[in-house]
Amino acid sequence: MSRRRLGILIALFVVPLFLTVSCCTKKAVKPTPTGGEKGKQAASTQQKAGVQEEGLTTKKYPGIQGEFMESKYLKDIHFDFDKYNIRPDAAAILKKSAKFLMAHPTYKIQIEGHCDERGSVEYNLVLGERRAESAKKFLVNLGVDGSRLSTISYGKEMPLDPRHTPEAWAKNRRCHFIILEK
Amino acid sequence: MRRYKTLGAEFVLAASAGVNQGLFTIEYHLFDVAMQKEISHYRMKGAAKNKDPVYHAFENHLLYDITGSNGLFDTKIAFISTQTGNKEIYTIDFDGRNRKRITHNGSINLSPRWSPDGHKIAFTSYIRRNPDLYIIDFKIGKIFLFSHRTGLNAAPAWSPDGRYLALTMRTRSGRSQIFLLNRQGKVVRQLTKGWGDNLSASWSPDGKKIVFVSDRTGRPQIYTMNVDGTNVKRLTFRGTYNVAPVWSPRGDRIAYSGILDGKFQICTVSLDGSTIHMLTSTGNNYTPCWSPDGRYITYCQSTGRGTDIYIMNFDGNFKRRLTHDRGKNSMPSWSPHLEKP
Repeated sequence: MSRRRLGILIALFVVPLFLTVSCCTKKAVKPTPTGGEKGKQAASTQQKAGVQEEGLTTKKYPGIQGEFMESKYLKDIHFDFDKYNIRPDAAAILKKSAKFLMAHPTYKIQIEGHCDERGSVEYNLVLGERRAESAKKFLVNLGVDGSRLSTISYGKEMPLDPRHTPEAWAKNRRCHFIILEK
Repeated sequence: MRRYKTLGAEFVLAASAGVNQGLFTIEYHLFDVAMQKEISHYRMKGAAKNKDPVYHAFENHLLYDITGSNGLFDTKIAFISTQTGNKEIYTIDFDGRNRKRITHNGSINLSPRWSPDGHKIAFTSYIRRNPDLYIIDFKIGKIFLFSHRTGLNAAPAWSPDGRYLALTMRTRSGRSQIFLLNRQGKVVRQLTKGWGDNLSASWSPDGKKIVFVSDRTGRPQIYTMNVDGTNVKRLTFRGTYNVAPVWSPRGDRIAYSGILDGKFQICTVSLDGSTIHMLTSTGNNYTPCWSPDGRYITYCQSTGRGTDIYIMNFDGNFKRRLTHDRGKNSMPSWSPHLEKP
């Protein structure tokens, strides 16, 4: 299920729970407490400063403390094998992410560096960290406040696609962006 | 006895085993064919409910009688398994029996490393949404958070005297470097500096040198240095990706995992870098670790079927698979000789 559909589903059916549903009043940077009819509104998109807003989805990784949120406006970026430089396709994505982050100045973001399954666990931990740091530097150069951006490396421990194919590897060499605080 | 000599036998073993009144007994006589005499006679007893300790004692004694070297039957191998869906630490005996789960945190646990006295295992875990270093203390049955600096607290390497841990951690510049930590978890010294990332330390058995990985040339290669960080020398020049070095307890070779013909293989290299032996040829092979006597290497092998723990002789002969479950089993660490339970 796509993140967008999941967001809508949560908004429609789980609204009475206080989870997940983002804020998007017109002035809207601060989170509004969700619930009732507001939640339904939140699921519909609105325009503001060229940035569309929509429900964030709440997630948790097994065995790792705390919940976090994801937004479809913070897209993964990808890397070449054993490389951490920002490719042109990644730069285009990061520019959009930077806009989104500047429109939401309270969001605290964690940039996760991930790798494909080839190579040692420990070397990939270091490589993942370099990827996350590269993405952070790029966002800071675009004007995002660096104190809002933390980095973490998961090395090759959290592949998006568990298959052992070049296509899966390409998907897994990535930075993923999560929202730790609104 | 002469008949055995013509067969080419060096030793003859006569052994018997049986259960009597809840006790399991193995008795053996070992004869040296060339000397034409009995060199050992031994009897072991244990509860019939749990025969493994008796088997291990038998194998240990026999190995000692024949080779003069202490056996490995009082050693264990710690490793990471995805059996539960998460990455937990398990131990097995060196013959693959007696599997035990050590961690129960449901998180991502990595790089288990036994302390030289066998009482502790250091490992990295993501419980607190950061790769922190923890230490399990088996003597008091507790797990401690040992190093929790933001960023990596990874690739722990105990000094041979157990007083220090070399750790891979992030510096302010965002690069990874090797640091020396004391028993309290305080940084005593930063061992590596300069351009590139430096990681994955392993100590020489005399505690004077450290072998590690550096990508200072743009690709990961293996280097050695003195424990004060001086005298850095590149060791591997063959291949473009050499990682996970471990110093042999005998001191003469370093095992590592490197790409050869597109696949990761376990190799050993002499200390001057002049001779390289490739020990594996099937699948991708990672994270070698020596047995305490330096006669064997454990490692993990990934093939289309899965990822499992193996052991082999130091020369690559007699490969044996130790794990057979559906989980992915990786990152083996061989314990020192452990006290009897």
